[in-house]
Amino acid sequence: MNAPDRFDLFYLPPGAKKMTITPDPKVENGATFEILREDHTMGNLIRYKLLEEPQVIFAGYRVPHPLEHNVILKVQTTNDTKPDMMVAKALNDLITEVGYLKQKFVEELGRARALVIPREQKPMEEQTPLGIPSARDNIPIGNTGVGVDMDF
Amino acid sequence: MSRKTSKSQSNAERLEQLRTRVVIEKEGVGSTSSSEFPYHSSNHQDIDYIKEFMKKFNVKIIRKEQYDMEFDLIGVDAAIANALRRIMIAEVPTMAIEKVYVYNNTSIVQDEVLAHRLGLLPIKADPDRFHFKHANEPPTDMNTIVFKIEHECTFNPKARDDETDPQKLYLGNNLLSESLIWVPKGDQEEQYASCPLRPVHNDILIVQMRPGQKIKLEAHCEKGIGKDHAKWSPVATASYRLMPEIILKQEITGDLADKFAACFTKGVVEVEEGYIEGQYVKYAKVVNPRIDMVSREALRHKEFEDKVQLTRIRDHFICTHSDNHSTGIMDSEKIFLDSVHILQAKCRRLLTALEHKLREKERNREQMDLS
Amino acid sequence: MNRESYQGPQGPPPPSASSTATPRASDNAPKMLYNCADCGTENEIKPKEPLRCKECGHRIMYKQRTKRMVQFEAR
Repeated sequence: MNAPDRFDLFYLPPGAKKMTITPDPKVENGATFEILREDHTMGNLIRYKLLEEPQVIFAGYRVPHPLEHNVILKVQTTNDTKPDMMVAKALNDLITEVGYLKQKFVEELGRARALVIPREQKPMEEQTPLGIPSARDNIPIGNTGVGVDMDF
Repeated sequence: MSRKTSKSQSNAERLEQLRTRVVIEKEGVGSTSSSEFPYHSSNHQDIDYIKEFMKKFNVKIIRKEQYDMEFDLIGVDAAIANALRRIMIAEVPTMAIEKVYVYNNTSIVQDEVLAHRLGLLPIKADPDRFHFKHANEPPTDMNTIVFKIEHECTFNPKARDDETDPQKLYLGNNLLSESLIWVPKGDQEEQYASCPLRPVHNDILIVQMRPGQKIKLEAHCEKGIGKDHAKWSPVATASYRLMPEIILKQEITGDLADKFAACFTKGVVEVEEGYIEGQYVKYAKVVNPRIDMVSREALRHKEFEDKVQLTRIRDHFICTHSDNHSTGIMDSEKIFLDSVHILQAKCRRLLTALEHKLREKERNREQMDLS
Repeated sequence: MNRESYQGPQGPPPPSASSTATPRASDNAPKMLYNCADCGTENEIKPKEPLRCKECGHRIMYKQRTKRMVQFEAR
């Protein structure tokens, strides 16, 4: 009766902004990013990537309440850059790195199919053939993503 | 495996170990947090992290079957491995029964319980070929799969008079998932002519019935993600663990070697014979730390206390995800590749939101400057 | 791709709102079938008729399940 809708975990209500940036009044080059309808999956990931940048002085995230599905990310940088630029760089770097991860994985898949790995692999006849790896790239991203909510 | 003959390690080596290993001690685990905090000594100014990552990163597939897989990710941070694991469990979409229209159900299983059970049946359909259906959209052949069940249980006329086995006494008393009959709509008939849509397994027991009971219903499948309801999760489970490492600081010889080998999972440590410091003795050798279950049994014994160190390699993840006859909806590699795609899509989405926000701020600032 | 719309199943059409003078009882009202509690036979019981099973004479009857379609979310 009181249960909130399950789709509230990922569905952005109409009119709400996905990301809100509030510059920090007390700290210079600091900002708070409030990201709606995200959880530890993205929060921890962005925080980790931000901490790899030497220009980031502070980066931390929290999920203020488990029943409200939002992430608050606090970033402070050195004087020569701004928090939003660092977050943008972190996200871009993530896309590159994960793309490289995928490429290596697909190569390894091809290699594993070519040779027979002696230990636990079943004989080749029992395995059904894989889809062609390059077909992966033809699938439009929009099809695998969820919300149609494009109100930023 | 590395063997150090002297007990002491230099400070640099110790630091390096703290940075790259999670140390497992007798009473707890040490050095768990990775070295990601600002101004850390390894945060050199001019390192291109992407290039470093590309040099260090490696994938090894240990075991791949059609529906489950075990592979190693070496050189990634826990945040990425965890994000991929969470996405595999909760955000890779699949198809599952969402709406059940019951015309008749005189079995003793209540309508809603029957509907719940139907929802949990894995459906063999490629989710990429379908669209998400939103609440206000009508069902179309691109976002819904229709199944129907029309089943009745009757007495078996050929059963013996004194028969007690319900399987022989009644016909149709077990409603199995093979009774879910696909009703092709629109283009589906041609599109899926070669691979008709069906539940993954034919022999899942849905309801048990007795003569006179009837079930007539229509079930609609929709695309969804595990976050919404666990029935849409493509994996039975996806997990990872860190690669264990057993470092022998001194040789363990003689009978102690046998005792040492017994402290670990079978096959991790083997006892061999050879010359150590001029004597022909049995000694323990670590051959396969991967299968170790890290029970820390060796640390419970005084005699091994300063001879062995158990650690885990911080950036070496042994990932498994298995459907193991429980879901079997998509090929194992497809699930992982989908999760990578979804992670990239989420990052892009946030980037777009960020850029949008920045442009908005620019516009506001321009307006303020003008006025 | 052809997005052929398909009407989801709806229940039986609602009764027409234009029945005014004639009360429904004298129309071709649907037969009310009940199941006897003891022997399980279907009995048709008309309104104002004493409640008794045709076969075994028992006086407890179960109403049959509705013929209307019911919709559930498989959650």
